[in-house]
Amino acid sequence: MKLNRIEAASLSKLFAATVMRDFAKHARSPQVAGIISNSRTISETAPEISVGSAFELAFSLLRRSQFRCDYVYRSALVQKLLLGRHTLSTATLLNEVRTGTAVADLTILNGTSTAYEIKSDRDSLKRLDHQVRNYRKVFATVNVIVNQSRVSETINRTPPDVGVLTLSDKFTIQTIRQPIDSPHRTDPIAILDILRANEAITILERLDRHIPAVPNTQIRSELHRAFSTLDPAAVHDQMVNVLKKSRSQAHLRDFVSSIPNSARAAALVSNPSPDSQERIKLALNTPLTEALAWK
Amino acid sequence: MYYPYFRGKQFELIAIRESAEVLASSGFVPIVEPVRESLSSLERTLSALGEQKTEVVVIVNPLHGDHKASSESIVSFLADRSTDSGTVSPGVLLTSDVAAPEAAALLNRLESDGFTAATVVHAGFTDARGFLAEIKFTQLSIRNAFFDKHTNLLYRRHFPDGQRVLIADGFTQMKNADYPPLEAFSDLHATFTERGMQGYGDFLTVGDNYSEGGGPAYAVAIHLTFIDPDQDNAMFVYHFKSDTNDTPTDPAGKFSQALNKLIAKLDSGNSGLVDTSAIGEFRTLHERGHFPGLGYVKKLSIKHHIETLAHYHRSQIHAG
Repeated sequence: MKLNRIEAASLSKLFAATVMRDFAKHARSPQVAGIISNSRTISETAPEISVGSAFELAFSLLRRSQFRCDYVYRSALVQKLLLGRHTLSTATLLNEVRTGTAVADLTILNGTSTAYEIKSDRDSLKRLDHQVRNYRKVFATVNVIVNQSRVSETINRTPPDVGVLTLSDKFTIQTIRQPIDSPHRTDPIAILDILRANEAITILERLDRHIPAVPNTQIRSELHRAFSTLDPAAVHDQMVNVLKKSRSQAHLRDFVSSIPNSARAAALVSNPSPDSQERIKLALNTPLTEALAWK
Repeated sequence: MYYPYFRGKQFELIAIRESAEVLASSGFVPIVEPVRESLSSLERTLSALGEQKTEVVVIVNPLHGDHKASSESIVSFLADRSTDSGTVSPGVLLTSDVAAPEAAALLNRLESDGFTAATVVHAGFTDARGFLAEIKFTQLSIRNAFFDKHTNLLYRRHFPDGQRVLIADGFTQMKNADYPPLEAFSDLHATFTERGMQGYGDFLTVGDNYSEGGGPAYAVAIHLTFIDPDQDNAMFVYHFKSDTNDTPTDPAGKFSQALNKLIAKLDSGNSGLVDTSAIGEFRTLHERGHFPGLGYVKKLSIKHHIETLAHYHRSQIHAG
């Protein structure tokens, strides 16, 4: 069973943030009903399955397709690295962190910080220089994950400390060029920009620095002043420690393991409350016949 | 007279609640389109308005937000309140998606639930004849409110009776960074009677376009309206904006940049801004160097707008 380009694009939308938001809020999603009823492959093969199983089926088609979308890569990183090599108690995932004028697709914090730029089979490499330059100011390790056919171009376009990974046809991640972990080349001010004020203050305290008591409109400029005098590697390492706690997803561990593999990356980044978790599970367990009437 | 149209987001509902007294003493009637699934915040707002005996219209079939799929929960919410409070009345939104029989059925339902009056908001619906035929026998006293953008004179001519209200959006929405320092807002408050209306409305300093949340703010803007007696009492809006707008960081610092411009304007003595409760709060925030959050700033902007129009109508009565 091969997907054509149009159906692949349509099925990939099952894993969109808007769908997970609808699930979390209403335990249903009209968008899903629309996508599945338009997909002959899904609605005709197995009308009696659940929404969750339809997601699994869609995902297995997407990952075998010649048009592997962003979510296939994203899901590979989450399934293989975050939930495979690490666990949610030891590692924390940051989704789409804005660094300067670029957005790092996924970042994993464990002993260090590792940013991943995903170049799916349809993405252009045009902005790669710019993106990598921004990520290197904040994260000690930067990786780019691409299709095998674009490995050499990616290697040529990026500095030697940037790792290059590929996603094989068998859905395994292979390291082509090993990244070099370099916390000393980060920039404390760029790091400050991804932090909330209370996170930045905690980092300062851990480095035995303090800012004067000022009104909240002046906190950022005080933090800016303080961060500009600090050692990059020290700030980076405290950033990892502090964000691993403040943005921890350990509380989502049981929930994530209770839903189908294919939905995990999408569900995890939606950071659902306990009530929302139940609604997401309810939506995924809905029989397809019933889900097709969602509106 | 004035019918401010609110999408019932959290900070808008709080603005209404805190303006209950001003709304009551001015005879203003807020129209609220509930967009949030939970009705508890709306409930608190309606109680605050009820205590002041302020009339309020609640749209039972919202176009936007969590209730757009079904009007059931709002209708039953209002029906529960129809006996204990005469100040809340239902509104029916007639958009291009609504068919005449459907709209009539909703009005019938409201009538059988014990309501005696309803506001019909004409917002893109075109089958005026069909609708009038359907509601020929209704006992409800009907007020017609027209969205200026969606209705023309010919359409409005079908509804010559009862109270007629024209609602026009004076607020041009754009990226905060793109706002000019000063812009025309509306003249409807000064011209609605000439347009054959008993009332007028607007979307305050929020605007008609509905969006959920939105992305990070690169620029912070404080929107404040004023009426210029030297320009035939036309209303204008200041957009006080932050200066460093190239990254989405430090909204608090950006707010203080915008606030400094507002305070400088006020201190110039020729701002034209009425000294409302919101202006007082902005002065306090400036003295404390405090950023209360973007929703709060929006709330102050809304309250200022309502109080400015209250002040205008009061002064017209004294002048006239």
